[in-house]
Amino acid sequence: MKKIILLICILFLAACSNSASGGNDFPTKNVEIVAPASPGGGWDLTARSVQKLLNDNNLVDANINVVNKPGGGGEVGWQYIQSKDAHNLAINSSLLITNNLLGTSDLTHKDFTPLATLATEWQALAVPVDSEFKSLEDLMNQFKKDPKSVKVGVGPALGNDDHLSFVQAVREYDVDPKNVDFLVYEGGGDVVTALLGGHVGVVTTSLSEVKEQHLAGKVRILAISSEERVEGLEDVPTYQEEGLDIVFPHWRGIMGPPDMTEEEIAYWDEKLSEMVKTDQWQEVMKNNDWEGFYKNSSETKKFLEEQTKLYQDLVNDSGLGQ
Amino acid sequence: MLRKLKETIEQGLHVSMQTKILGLIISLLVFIIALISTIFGIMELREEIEKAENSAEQTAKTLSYMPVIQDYATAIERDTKPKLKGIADQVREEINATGIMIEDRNGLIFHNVSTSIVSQLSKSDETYQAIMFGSAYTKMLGEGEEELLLGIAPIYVDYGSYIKVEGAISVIFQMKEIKADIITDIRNILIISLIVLAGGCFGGVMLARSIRKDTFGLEPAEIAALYKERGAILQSVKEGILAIDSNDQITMLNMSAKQMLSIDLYKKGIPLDAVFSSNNVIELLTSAHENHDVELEFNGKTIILNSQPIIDGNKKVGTVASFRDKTEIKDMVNTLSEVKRYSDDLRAQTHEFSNKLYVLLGLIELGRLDEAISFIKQEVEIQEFNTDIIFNQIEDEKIQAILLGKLAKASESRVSLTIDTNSSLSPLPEYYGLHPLLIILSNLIDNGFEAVSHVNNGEVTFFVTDIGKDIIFEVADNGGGIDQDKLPMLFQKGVSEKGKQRGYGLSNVKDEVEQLGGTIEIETSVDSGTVFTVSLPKNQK
Repeated sequence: MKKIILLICILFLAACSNSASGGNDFPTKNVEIVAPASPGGGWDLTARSVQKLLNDNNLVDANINVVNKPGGGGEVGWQYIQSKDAHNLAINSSLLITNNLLGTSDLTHKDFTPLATLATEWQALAVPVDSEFKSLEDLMNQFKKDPKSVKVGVGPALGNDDHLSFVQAVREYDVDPKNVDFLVYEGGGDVVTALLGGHVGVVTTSLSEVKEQHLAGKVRILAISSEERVEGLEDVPTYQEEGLDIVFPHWRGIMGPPDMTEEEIAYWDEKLSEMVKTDQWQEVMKNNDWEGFYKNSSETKKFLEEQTKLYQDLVNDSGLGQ
Repeated sequence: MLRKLKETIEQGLHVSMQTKILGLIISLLVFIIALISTIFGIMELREEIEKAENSAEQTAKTLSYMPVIQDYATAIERDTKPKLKGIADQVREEINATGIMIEDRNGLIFHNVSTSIVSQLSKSDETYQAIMFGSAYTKMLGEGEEELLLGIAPIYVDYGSYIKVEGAISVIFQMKEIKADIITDIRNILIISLIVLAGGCFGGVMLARSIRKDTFGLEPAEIAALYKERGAILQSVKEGILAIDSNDQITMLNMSAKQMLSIDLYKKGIPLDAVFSSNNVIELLTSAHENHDVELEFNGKTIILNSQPIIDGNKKVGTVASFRDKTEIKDMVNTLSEVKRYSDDLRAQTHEFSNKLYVLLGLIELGRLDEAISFIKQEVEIQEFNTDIIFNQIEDEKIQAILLGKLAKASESRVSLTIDTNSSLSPLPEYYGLHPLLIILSNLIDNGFEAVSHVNNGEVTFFVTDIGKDIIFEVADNGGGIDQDKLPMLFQKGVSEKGKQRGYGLSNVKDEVEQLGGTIEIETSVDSGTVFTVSLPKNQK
């Protein structure tokens, strides 16, 4: 019995000294950034950009590796870092919230330590350039008249930010989104192809997917989900300008495992806030049509709570006729 | 309140062993059964719900891809309703679901559940997420009897280049049915538990009986009382009692044994050789045979030992031994023999007087009065002579008494006991008790009587003086003396010329003389007889 108590004491002391030294000498080993998707996607790109910038600017005194853990809409990668320590980070996005709300995952942002929101993309609502709908109002009125008269293209799945931003928009016009025909395509590219091919009347997708087509005069972007007009697309109004109270970022962030110490959180706050100030980061964002959306750990936590509330309202029920 | 509780507890302590055992078994079993049933119930409920959730969701997903259902949902083919109903009923059979419901974007298009469930579900829009966002999930809704578990999946229809959610399918379970299954399982467990409980009670009764058989039908409380009683008996006995076990460790020792064997620090289980140093004693105590009245020297005491081995089957499992202090027995024997001697002496005196009275009667009847008168005078003279010396010169009353007794015995035995006229004795100090003096003088004088009993004109002479530091007694006889070769053994026990069961006299005399710190000497010859001289110190050291 005495031996067991002694052992517990030793373990306890060891645990104390471990966490203490962890705070002082962090990082003590290689840092791993998990991209919860296959190489080549947005998450992968974000992970590799963060890796490159932290290394190039000598911000972190340790090797940084990027690990791809695709599957389950991010679930596999996120599950992976849940049991790791503060050396293992993962890229996230709004899927962390919607996966849970739509019943595909048990994980929520509360199961992790949010470290930063890094950047965002915006959603665009686009119609063919020869469409009869010249403005958002035209389109919405048509939906109000007959929800099934215009087919909407989304991709790659229902419940993503593109889809949700549109659901929010039609609901503002008192249209039951349940009556709208959503055609689900495999990806952003297919959505645009369908739009150009006349298979759908309108698409909701990332701005980057339709920006070039808009500039080339093939499609018309009716509204954009940002707060202010976007550089290079000064002719495109925001939802807010069109009278709808919608700002819908498609954000990306980075998070760590649960129960990180305050020292560890402070460390990453410092490093990541320095990283987003570099010119290289500005360049990465410009190249990908991202926008600076940096929030530190505590701001991100608050932001995620707000977002969860917003998504909950959108997802849970039609909110109409009640 | 407290007192009442206390009373209850005290009464509780006196219940029979069987009640105790049964009470314990029943309460333990009931507790365990309740615990297990509860845990089982909770686990089973969780497991069943999880199982139902999984199968509801999986079934909903699977069904959503079936062409029949897809065609039905897209309204391509609604003539297939009977076929659909077949499938729906099959689902109900195979996974024990209550039924399924299919909705398209406009509302319910098919179901095989009761209308009450349909109306219950129509109040809320549970399929919204499936139809709107294409997600599959489970939902619990309602309460109590109406509690439902739904597995909902979107009906995705693949149109080649794109897919579209055309509706949703719900697989419905009624919680009351799941719970009913669990209640049946728990009831089965309880039935088995009751059998176990009955078995436990039976076992308890058997155990109690078996224990009572081993304890000769005595309750533990009675055994405890007997045990205490035994302890009290053993402690109150004057004999020393000691018990050892098969490992030669002392298991019991009473107070008398402790005193007799001078054991101060007794602890149960100490080995025999820690108490006794003599191998002889240990051998006696550990022998497999009984020992009767064995005399032992232990710490300067003479002890009489009896031992009885305890035999279980063919094996010795222990020994019980008892001890008596020999000195005490000896004192008792001595006291008895003195009493006997006193009464003998008194009887002798009575006999002597009646003899003399017969002589006088005879002389008077014959008319020889002169002779009678001279006989009386002669007797009076002898009496006066002896008593004069006894009462005038020997002032110690104890010695007076002894000598008067011996004079009577001499007169009866027809031997002559003469008190030397030179005898003189002041009262003896207090510490000279009657008992040792009686043993010394009585034995020596009686021995003298016996020595002269076959001699003509046999005479025993007694002399005492306390002039000087010592008191000197001298008993002389004119008998045949003692053989030289018997002299060395004269004072040993059991050496006597008077046959068996004799020979303790001189040995006792010697013991008593030595106890008083005196010496005894003997002078003997065939011609002049034997003289015993005892000298005792006046002042005890």
